[in-house]
Amino acid sequence: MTVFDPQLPEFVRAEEAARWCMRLCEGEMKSSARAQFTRWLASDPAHRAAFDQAVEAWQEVSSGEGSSEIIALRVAALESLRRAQRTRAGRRLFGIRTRWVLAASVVVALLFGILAVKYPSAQQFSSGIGQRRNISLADGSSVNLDASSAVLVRYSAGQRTLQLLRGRAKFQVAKDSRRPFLVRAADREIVATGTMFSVEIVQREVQVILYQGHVSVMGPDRMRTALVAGDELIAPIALAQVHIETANVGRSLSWESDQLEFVDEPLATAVERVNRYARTPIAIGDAAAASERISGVFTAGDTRAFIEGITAVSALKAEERNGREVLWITGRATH
Amino acid sequence: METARKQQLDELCRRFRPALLAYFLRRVPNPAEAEDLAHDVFLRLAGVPLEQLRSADAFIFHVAANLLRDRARRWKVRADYAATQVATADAEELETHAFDPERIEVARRSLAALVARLMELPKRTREIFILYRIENVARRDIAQAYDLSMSTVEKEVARATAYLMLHREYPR
Repeated sequence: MTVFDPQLPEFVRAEEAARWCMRLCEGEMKSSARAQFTRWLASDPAHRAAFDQAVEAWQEVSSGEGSSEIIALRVAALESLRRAQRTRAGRRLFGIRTRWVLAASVVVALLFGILAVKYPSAQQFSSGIGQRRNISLADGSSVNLDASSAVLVRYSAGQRTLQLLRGRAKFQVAKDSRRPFLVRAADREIVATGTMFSVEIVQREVQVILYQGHVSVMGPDRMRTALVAGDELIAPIALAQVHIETANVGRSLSWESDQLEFVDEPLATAVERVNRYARTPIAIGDAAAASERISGVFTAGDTRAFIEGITAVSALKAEERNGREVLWITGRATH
Repeated sequence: METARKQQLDELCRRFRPALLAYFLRRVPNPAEAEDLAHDVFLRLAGVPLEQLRSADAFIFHVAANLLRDRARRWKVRADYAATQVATADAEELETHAFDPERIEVARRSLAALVARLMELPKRTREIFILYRIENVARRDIAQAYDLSMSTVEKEVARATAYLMLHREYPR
């Protein structure tokens, strides 16, 4: 690591680059300043590198601004500003700028809302295509969101309620016997105290896999099914029936390390999971293809490899239509 | 409504102007042209619905990539294929990398390092830097609140930035 020494030429250069960033931020520069900036950039290749680094450092800070760690620092900074302004208001009764006093209080209140143990209202977290998210909740629980998934979090004094809106999520629940942890997915409710489990909505089914502890799953008929570690519950949406099988624990968690693993899975289910990472989703041509069973391990996001892999070993073929790959069963016309 | 839009635009300008300029500087040979392109991005944003501006981070760079693509097309007419290919490849690279799960993972890990470096700064320096950079508080307002000169505030922000730059960990 570099030693912090303001005398170092590279430190001086870095500060210069930072000052240019500030000037660029603070509105239109006069043409003389612009010319000066251009000259500064051109006079030394190290200047341009330093400018790039300054921008990167700033962007890094921006990209972290919504994380709980940075939010804590923002709250501290805004409170400090508010205190400083109050002291100043005491010193000078008139002519103070109240705009920032007000704005700072509003932002602090907002940020505290996010930080608070009780979320005052529901908060939604979602992940985009090919993007997974790990969300730390105020009570120490965490949610690992698969790509193209969304979860709504609502905490109150008596209950922790989460709703899986789409996709898949794994929940690591912090123990709190006074506040049950409840996950809703379509028409199923999963209740836990301290445990680890995942919930997925795929092909009009809710799939629950329990890794640790105990949960119970309630169906639309209010009947509860208790699961033990290693169980996988499959519940078709809008039907009371459930089906329990033994989960392959290792395989079921492979998505967390960018692997999509399928063993004798209907193509429709596999494609839905692959499409969570695909910028151009794959389509399925017909029902026969949808129910074709496939197996294999694929890297999430590598749609090409998935198509090549499954068409090589099954009766499926791929065809491009309107820019999308469509999967069909081969040889149907001849039978 | 119009003041809301202007405020939003000012804020975006403030947040992204240096980054846009750095982006263009890496891709066009002439700094003056890079500045013009950065300026054009904000001109284009002026016609965009306010709602879209609120989630502008990715959008701004999308506009920037499109500008480069347009520029590349003009160059193609002049039969400068090499430049076209470079610019188009850059525009595509920019659009794909937001989707790269590995990059997201790297970003998540470097967040902890960033917080650690911010905590190494003197408290007042850190506060001023955060107010300026994240909360977009004007330099003058910071100076008045803390009873400092404008140039002292500038010095604190520059110092914090330099510290973050030189203590940056480079993943991979």
